[in-house]
Amino acid sequence: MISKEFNMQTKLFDSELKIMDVLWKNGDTTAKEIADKLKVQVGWNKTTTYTLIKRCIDKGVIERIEPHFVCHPLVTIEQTRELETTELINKMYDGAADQLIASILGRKNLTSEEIERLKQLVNSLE
Amino acid sequence: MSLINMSFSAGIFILIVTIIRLLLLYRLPKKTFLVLWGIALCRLLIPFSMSSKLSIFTIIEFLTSNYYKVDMPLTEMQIPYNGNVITEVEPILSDVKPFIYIPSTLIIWFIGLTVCALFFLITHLRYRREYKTALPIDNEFINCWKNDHLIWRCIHIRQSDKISAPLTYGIFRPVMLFPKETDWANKTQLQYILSHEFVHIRRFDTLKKLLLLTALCIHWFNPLVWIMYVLANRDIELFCDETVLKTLGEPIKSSYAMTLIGLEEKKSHMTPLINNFSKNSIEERIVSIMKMKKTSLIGALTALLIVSGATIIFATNADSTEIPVHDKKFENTTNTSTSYTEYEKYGLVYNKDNDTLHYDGKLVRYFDDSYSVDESISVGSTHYTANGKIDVYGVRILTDTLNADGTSNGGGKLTGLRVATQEKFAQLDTTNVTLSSKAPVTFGDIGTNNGNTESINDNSNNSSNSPVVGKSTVYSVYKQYAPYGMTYEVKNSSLTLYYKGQLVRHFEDILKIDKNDIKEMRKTSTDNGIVDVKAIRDSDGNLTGLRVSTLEEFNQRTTDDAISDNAVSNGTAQN
Repeated sequence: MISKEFNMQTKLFDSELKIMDVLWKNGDTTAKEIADKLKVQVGWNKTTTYTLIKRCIDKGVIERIEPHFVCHPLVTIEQTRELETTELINKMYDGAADQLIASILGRKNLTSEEIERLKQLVNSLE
Repeated sequence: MSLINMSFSAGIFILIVTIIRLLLLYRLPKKTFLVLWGIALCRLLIPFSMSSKLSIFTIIEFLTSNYYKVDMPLTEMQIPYNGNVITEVEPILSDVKPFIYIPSTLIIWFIGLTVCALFFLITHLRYRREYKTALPIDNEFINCWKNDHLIWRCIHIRQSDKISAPLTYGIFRPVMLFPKETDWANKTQLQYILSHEFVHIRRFDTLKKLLLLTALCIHWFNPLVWIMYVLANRDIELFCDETVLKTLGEPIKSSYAMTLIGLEEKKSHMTPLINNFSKNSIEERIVSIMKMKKTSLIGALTALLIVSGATIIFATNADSTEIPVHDKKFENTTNTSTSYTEYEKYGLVYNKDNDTLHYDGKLVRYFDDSYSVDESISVGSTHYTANGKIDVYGVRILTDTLNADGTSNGGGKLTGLRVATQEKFAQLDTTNVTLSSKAPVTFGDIGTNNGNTESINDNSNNSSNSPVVGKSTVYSVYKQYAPYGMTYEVKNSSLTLYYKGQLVRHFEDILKIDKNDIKEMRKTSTDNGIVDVKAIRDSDGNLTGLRVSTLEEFNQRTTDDAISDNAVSNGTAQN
């Protein structure tokens, strides 16, 4: 089995992210189970879900394991987050990560838990 | 109606609507144009047609009828001399080729249709597949709005990161799609978009677009239909805008227009190719919105007038029932009733509706304009109405008359009508004439003894060259020569003519010569004929007699025929 090198991850659409989301939250799942879950969550029919799973496989972010068409994510949520964040920083913050942080901190709607977590994060970096 | 016919006449209508649109787009309520396009669609998709005297096609026929023989029903055609056979052709049912022949134009059309249909179908299905991956929207405003606008069909509102502008799809289960980048906080904008798409759903615009597409696929060869497709789609949007503004109120005009422009900007990021094209349509929309005003009564009436006028004149077919009277002299009716027009100047009036004749105001009982040519052959026409008050007889010069140049005119010219005396009226044996009370007795019927009733469509004797004789057409054409002494006989699908009992070799009747010296004529020929006969007509084209050629003329013709026969067999003949 050839594992795809994670150098440049292809951009995932929202719909594909939704599939990954199920896998990230529930670990390896069969395609049928994914379809059932998403039917409830977003109202997709089976065909749609299966099409999207196939696309993810083609993009190299899902691996199909037989028997039972089990789906295994090939990228982690952290990898994807990093990808998206970098893109955001480059696109909107001139590549300066601190500007993004500043912007977040500048928002007036941080909850007390979020503030607490941030404080701990800063501490751990020192 | 054939497809080409439909396409062409609908095309004319489309042209007119396009012109109206060009001139009055911003002055008429947009619904007007949708009605007009609807009519165009009907013309394109429904083979039903209505004829009207005011139709442009009637007018065209009227104008051209002065130059051409107009009464050519499509089943009758005049073909040039072809051996010793008749000049009239009826649709050939007997000549069935062994395989089914499909004209190449039909194949090309079908290929075009398939290509168009497949293109649109596949494109649509592809998009549909993407649309299905849309995600639900969690927005309070939208949820409230959905509850306020319930219709019997279930509307879904979702979002997708694959589209750049809001759209609606689906006829039975409509779905509104918002792009991911929508500003969910801008409630006003959301309202505009929702209202706009909602109007589309309520008016079944998706269905209308489908019909337009169908018409386009079927009439793909007609560029006017493509124009209709583009303009009609634009008009659907314009009408939608108009309805939204009417619902939400006119003052929001500018705000609504700005929203549109904003959305359009987002769109052109993704599709630079269509930029120029859609610039036109977005411009139309903005201008139309800003120029919108309340529909006045005058405006509505004008619109109604224009729609009715355009439809009646350009969307109806030619009315073929009444052709101007002065063309009736060329009429070749395929019905079997006698034409009584030649008696009209002597005071005999024919009432077509109840098949009665009137002379001098009185109902005619027995009308007889027949005379015997031979022992057993009688030619002419008779008519009988049981409760008539008088009997009328035709008066003709039966003897030959001589012309100045020595040729003779056959007898038979009508010179008047004669009313029977009381005595003769009482003497008439009505039992003998009853059969003509429904259909006039003419020489064709009397010819039973001569074997004229032989079956015409005798396939076994038909070579592929000789057309089938239509008995009724021959009958109606040649009976006009009957009073002048000519009879006919149809045997084995070929026609032979007799003048005063003599077999006619060449018969010619020049019906019309127009300014380009093109003759319209009728010709018949039989190989062993012994006389040549020409029909004589006056300057109005009325038949006035038959002329028999002199001996010199006959011999000259014989020589000419021999020469041209040689030429044919040598391959040098020209038609």
